Amino acid sequence: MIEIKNLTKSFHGKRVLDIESLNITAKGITIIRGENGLGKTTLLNIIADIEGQYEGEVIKSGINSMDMTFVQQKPYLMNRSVFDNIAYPLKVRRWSKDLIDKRVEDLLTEFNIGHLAEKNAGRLSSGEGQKVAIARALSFRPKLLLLDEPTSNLDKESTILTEKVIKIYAKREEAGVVMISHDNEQIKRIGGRVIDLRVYLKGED
Amino acid sequence: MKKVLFILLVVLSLSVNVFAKGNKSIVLATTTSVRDSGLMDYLLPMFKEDTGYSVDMVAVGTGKALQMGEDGEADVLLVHAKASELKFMSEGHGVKRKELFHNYFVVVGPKNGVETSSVESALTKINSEGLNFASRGDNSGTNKKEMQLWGENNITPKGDWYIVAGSGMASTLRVADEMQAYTLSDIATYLNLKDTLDLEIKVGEDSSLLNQYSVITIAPSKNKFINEKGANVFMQWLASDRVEEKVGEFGRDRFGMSLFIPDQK
Amino acid sequence: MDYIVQGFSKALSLLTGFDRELYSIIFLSIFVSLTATLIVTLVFIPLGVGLGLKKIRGEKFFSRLLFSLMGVPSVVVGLLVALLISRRSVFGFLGLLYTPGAMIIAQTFLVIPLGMGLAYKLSKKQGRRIKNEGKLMGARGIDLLFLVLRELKGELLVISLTCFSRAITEVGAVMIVGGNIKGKTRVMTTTISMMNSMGDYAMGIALGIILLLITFIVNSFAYVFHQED
Repeated sequence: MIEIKNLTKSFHGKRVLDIESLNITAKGITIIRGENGLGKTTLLNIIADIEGQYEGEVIKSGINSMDMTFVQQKPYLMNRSVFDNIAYPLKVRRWSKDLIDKRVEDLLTEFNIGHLAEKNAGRLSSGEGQKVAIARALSFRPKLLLLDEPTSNLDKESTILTEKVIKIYAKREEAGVVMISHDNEQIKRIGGRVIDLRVYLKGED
Repeated sequence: MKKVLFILLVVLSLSVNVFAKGNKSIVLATTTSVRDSGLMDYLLPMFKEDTGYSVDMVAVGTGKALQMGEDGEADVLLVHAKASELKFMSEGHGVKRKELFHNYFVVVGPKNGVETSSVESALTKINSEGLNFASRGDNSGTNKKEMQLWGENNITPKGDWYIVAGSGMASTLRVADEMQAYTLSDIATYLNLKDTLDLEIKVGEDSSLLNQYSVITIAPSKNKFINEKGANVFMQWLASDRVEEKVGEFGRDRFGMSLFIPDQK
Repeated sequence: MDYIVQGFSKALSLLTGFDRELYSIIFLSIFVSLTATLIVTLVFIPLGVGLGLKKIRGEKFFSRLLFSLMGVPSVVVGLLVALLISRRSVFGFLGLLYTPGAMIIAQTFLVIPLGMGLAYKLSKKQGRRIKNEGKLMGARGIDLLFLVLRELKGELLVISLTCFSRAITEVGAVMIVGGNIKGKTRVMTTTISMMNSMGDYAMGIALGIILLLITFIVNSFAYVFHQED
């Protein structure tokens, strides 16, 4: 469970987030919806612990930092092969080489990017890059997966594929997925809980 | 990672040599003109062979060499500024001082310039006719000698004709050449550059142009690193008959004359 | 004029004839400057990167300090080091003055602000993003530093090459702490300087050519790596 209490965040004096209370279950899929500029990305940044300047409380019970990850809108891909990128979270967790190889191969197949395995991740198209970033995020089987518009750069076919992968993942691993989307069709396809951020923001007219 | 460690190891082991300083080693402070003459490059290998001592020869200005002696940064000095040396000894910085060899400064000038026989007449003429004169102006031994000579003739050099060149005997000679001026030079540097200069010796072995070279051993009371033994070995070796003869031979094959004349015992 | 031409031709024959003294001077120059650069590259550049990833108190002051130290004249560094290692000084007992070791020390001090300052600046600009992503992937502590170092490898190499250039072309520091002793502490820059004051152009020109070649090669590498980003 992710509990948010009295969260406020300002950028250069301008108030960008003001939430009195918001709870998000850390199991199953939750989609955060809302127009541009409401602060969805900022909220996810805070939950993911990459934004540390804020007031209020964000309590993630039962989840420690090594169990969760976040795929940003513009994810940073390392200057190495796609394979090595996806393998990295496993390397830092000191998985054995055999297990790493197997897991990465599985993910490459799942996302249909096997042909990109040896390609330098810096040379991918934005769509390919996005898939790699998501595959990488799933590599260590996080208990909580945060995604910021994960299919924004993907064509229809890849979008459907990715949505399927995420759905299967959440179910099979009994993991929590918190995702930002403003594609209503997508929201319908994925299912899960929908949070309209606007409802939770104070002082919005 | 392993490669990095290996390189570090290599560097470290090389650096042992790089940092080491044995006790069969002395620091000799001397002047740039001594270094430039090539005399030490000629003698030091012989010294090493004969005595096993290696010499770290640091060539600096006369003033600095004496200062290094005073500060105990050198074990032995080879300099040629008698007045300053005597003061140095009277202040107790050195233990032994020995005059070993000498040569003469020369006044050089343009080939169809003045014809004189003495320093006195040369300088007087240069001053009265406002002939170009290049001075080192760097407080070196040569420069000090120059100022001493002007003083002895009661002249204070001033005016457009008195050119204060950069330090370094060679560059001063080039300036003199360029401006077809007179200048005071040590014999070795002049001879080395003679073929590229349009200057000739005007006054040679005048007694006032005497350039006396001496060795001074530094007082061990300065600090505990003074290698008194090594300094004495150096002085004795340099003063020995055999080596003095070698000193006299230096330069003969190239210039047909000794660059350094051993002092009579 | 013909002494210049003479100088060039003698220089060429020294170079192609593998004159022993000439090549030992070249070797020493590279050894001293390369060692100093390696020390800075392996210790102080990563340190600069690491500091750039943290939020430190007095960041602005630190930045400004490093940048002003970058411009310290090499003679001043040489003087300071010489004062510390001369016989009557604190570290006199090490007997370091007039050794290649002292030259390495002086040049290291000279380029530390350069390497560390540029690495710090680079890290502040590009490092944070990499660090964040690293954290999200589960990297912690030293893994994070290595990740950033590896990702910024190209730019860091350029910084390292810059340090090497600065070291090998300086003359003030090595002159003062090394003493320009023949066969022991003579490097290209001090020899060129000495040859000039002696009026011997041949050796000076030969070394000048080599020094130019080295700096040209090093800077070309830096240029190539820079372009790759």
